[in-house]
Amino acid sequence: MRQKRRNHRFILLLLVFIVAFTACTTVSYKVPIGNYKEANTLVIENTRTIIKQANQVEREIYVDKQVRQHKPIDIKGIHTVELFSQDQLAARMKALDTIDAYGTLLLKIVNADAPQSIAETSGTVSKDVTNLLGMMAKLQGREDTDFKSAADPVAKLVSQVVGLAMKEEIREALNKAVEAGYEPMKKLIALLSEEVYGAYKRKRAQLLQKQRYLLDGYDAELKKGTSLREETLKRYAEQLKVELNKWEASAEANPDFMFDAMERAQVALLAYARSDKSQKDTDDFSYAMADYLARMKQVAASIKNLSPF
Amino acid sequence: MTKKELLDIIESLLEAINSLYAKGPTEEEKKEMDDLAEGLDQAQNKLVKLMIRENDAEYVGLTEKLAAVNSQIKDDLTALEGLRKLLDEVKQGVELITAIVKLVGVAAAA
Repeated sequence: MRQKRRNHRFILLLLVFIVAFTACTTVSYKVPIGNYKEANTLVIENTRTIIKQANQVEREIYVDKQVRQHKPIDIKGIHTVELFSQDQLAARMKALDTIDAYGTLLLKIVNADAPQSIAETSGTVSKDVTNLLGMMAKLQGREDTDFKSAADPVAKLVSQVVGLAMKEEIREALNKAVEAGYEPMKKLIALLSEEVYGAYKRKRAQLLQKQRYLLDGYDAELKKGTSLREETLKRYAEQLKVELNKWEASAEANPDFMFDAMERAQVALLAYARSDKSQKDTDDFSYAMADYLARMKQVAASIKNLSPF
Repeated sequence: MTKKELLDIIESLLEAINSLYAKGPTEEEKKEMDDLAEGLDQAQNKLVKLMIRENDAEYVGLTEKLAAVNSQIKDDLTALEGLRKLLDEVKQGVELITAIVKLVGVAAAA
C-alpha cells in the first residue's frame, strides 16, 4: 500500500516536472525570438530604403556628371544608369515581405501560449474539476479532507495534461519552422547582401565624385590668383568638410555588418532549435539574439545618417 | 576574385584619383583623371547591374520556398488554435458535469 502511494507520488512529481520543463523551453524562446523579429525588421527596413534609393543615387551621379562636362541631360540616359528595373524592385520587395512574414509567424508561434489562453484556462479547469470532485464526494457522504487529498492531484493533472500537449506542440512547431526556414533564409540573405553591398559602393562612389568636383572647384578658384573670391573659396571648403565627414561616417554604414549579423542569427536560431535546450543553450541563444538586435540598432542609425539612404 | 572584391578595387582606384586631385594637377592631368574616374564609375555601375540581373531567377524560387514555409507555419498555428479550443471544450465539459452532479445532489437531498 505504502509502495503504491510512493509510486503515485513519483508519477505525479514526474508529470509536474515535465510540465514545468516544457513551460520553461517555450518561455525561453519568447524574448530572444522577439529580439530576432525586431532586428529582422530593422534589416528589412534598411534594405528596402537602400534598394529603393539606389536608382536615385545613380540618377544624381549621372546628372552631376553631365553638368560638370557641360553635356545635355538625356532622360533615356538617366534610365540606362538605374540599377533596378521596376520588375526587379518588385521581386526584392516581395522577398523582403516574405522574410518579414517569417519572423512575424515565428513570434506568433511562441506567443501561442499567451498566459490568458493557457495558464488561466488550465487554472479554471483545475478549480472546476476540484469543485466537481468535491460535490461527488459529498454525494457519497465522504469527508472533505479525504476528498481534498484525492481531488487536488487529479484536478491538476487534467489541466496540466492538456496544457502539456499544447506546449509540446508549440515547441515542435517552432523547431520545424526554424529548420525549414533556414536554407531559403540563408540564401536570400546572401543575395540581398551582395546587391545591397553593390548599392552601398555606388553611394560611396557618389560621395567620392562630390569630393572630386569640390576639390576641382576649389582648385580652379585658387588658380584665379588675385581675382579669386574669398567667399567662393570658403564655400567650397565648407562643402568639402561636410562631404569628408559623410565619407568617414559611411564606413560605419557598411551593410555587410547588417547581413553578417543576420546570418549569424539564423545559425544561432537553428543551433538552438536542434539543441537539448539546456541552460547554457538558452543563455547562448538569448545572448546571440540580444547581440543581433544591438548591432542592428547601431547599423540602422549609421545608414539613416547616409542621406539619401 | 569575387564581384564584391572587384567593387572594392574600383572604389580604391576612385579614392586614389581623389588623392591625386587634391594635389592640384594640371588641366591635362585633370582631363586624364576625369576620363579614368568616368570609366571606373561606369564599370562599377555595370558590375552592380550584372549582379542584380544574375540574382533575378534565384529570388523567385527562394521567395516561393520561404512562402511555403510560412504557409506551413500558418497551418501549425491553426492546429495550435485547435488545441486551445480543446482546452476550452474540456472546461465546458467539466462545467456541464458539475451542473449535472449539482442537480443529482439536489434530487438526492429532496
